[in-house]
Formats: sequence, structure tokens, C-alpha cells
Amino acid sequence: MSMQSTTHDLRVCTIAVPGRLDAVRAVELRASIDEALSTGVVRFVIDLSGAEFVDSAGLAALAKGMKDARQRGGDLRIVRSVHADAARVFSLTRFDQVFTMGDSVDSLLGSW
Amino acid sequence: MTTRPLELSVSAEALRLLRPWLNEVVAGTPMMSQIGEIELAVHEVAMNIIDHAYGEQSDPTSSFEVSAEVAGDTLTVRLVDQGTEFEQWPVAPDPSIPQVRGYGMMIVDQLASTVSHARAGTKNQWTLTFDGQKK
Repeated sequence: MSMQSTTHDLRVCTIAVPGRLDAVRAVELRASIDEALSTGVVRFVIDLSGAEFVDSAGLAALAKGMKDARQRGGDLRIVRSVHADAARVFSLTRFDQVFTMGDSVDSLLGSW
Repeated sequence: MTTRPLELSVSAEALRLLRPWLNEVVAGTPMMSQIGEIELAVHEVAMNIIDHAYGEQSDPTSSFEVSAEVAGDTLTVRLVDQGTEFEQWPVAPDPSIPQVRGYGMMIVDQLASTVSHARAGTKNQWTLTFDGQKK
């Protein structure tokens, strides 16, 4: 029996959100995710490494994006913020246990 | 020490004025090291006011007031709005079930030393305190 080799090209949408992920930016993030979903992309890496502030509306946008991606067989994974204030929101809400999180875009791309 | 109150229009964009105002409030006090937590807690109560007290019926000219005072090692922040009466403390969501709403007051509860709400006439009054000796 011969071996069969197949190469899969996985499409991943990466979105960097530096600065603030608040209610204003959350709307923009949702629009970006929805646009990518409409083209068939179901894997997302949201790079929050440069995010200094994340509020509950930002978390809500991330949670909705993750639900939508997972329902389509994909996922939404998050690069941790290096800023304590932004990172704290994830531990306060225990979202750090819900999302797959990593320290860099490359590490999360490699997780697929 | 009391800082001039901040008048915020009922819009998410307006909440970006909170940080520079709070910086002024806590300058030179032990609360400076907690400024990020204080901003987030006040921001979330303000978002709750925008979403629930005013909601979609908001008059674009509506506004609410935030005031603060530092006494000893305690910062007290008050938010007063004239929107719909706040009736029920949201139930904290189960984090194992990702959902899109309900995290704001869960965050406030954990960041502020105390948080309370009172209805006075046509106004909702939120009071948050932060203890500078917490850390």
C-alpha cells in the first residue's frame, strides 16, 4: 500500500488591535471578523499584544467571533497583551480559560 | 480633594475622556498605581449607563456626570444619570459558556472595593470606592 501525502493550506485571518479594544473598536473588530467569515475564513488570530485597554464590549466581540468561528469548524485564538491592564480583564472574567491564548502570532499560527 | 466633575455625553466615544480625567483625580495619591483598574471599573459602570439607562432611546444631547473625591487613602467616584431606573444587578455569566454580554458588572465587582446603586427621584446614582491601601 502506497503512502498518500496531502498538503493543506489553512487560511488564517490575523487582526492586530493595538491601543484600545473598547466599545468603539469592538464594532470595527466584529465587522472585520464578519467580513472574513463571509469569505469562508474560519480561523482567526487576534493580536492583542499591543492592546493597552480591553473592556467588556471588546471581550463580547471576541466571544462572539469565537462562537461564530467554532460553529463553522474553526476557532478564534488570541495573542496575550503585554500590558497588565489589558491582560487582567481576561483573568477577571476567566476568559483566559476559554480562549486559546499564546504569546505571539507565530506560536498561534503553529497551533493549527 | 475634589476634582471638577466630568460631563459625559451618552456615547462610547465619550468614555475615552475618563482616563485623562482620572489621571488628574488620582495624581499624587496612592491610587495612582491602580489607575488602570479604576479606569476600567468606572468605564464599565458608564457603559452600563449608556446601554441600560439610556439604551436606544438616547437623546444625542443626553449626558451624565462623573465626580470624584479623594479622602485619605480612599477614592470615591460617583456617576449620576437621569436614564431609566436600574432595576436588577446582572447575573454573572458562566465563563465556561462563552456569551457576549454580562461581563461589565462582573468586572466592576472585582475591581472596586465597594459598588452601590441608589435611585433618587429621577436619577440613578452609582458610587464606587477604591482603597489605596489595597495593594
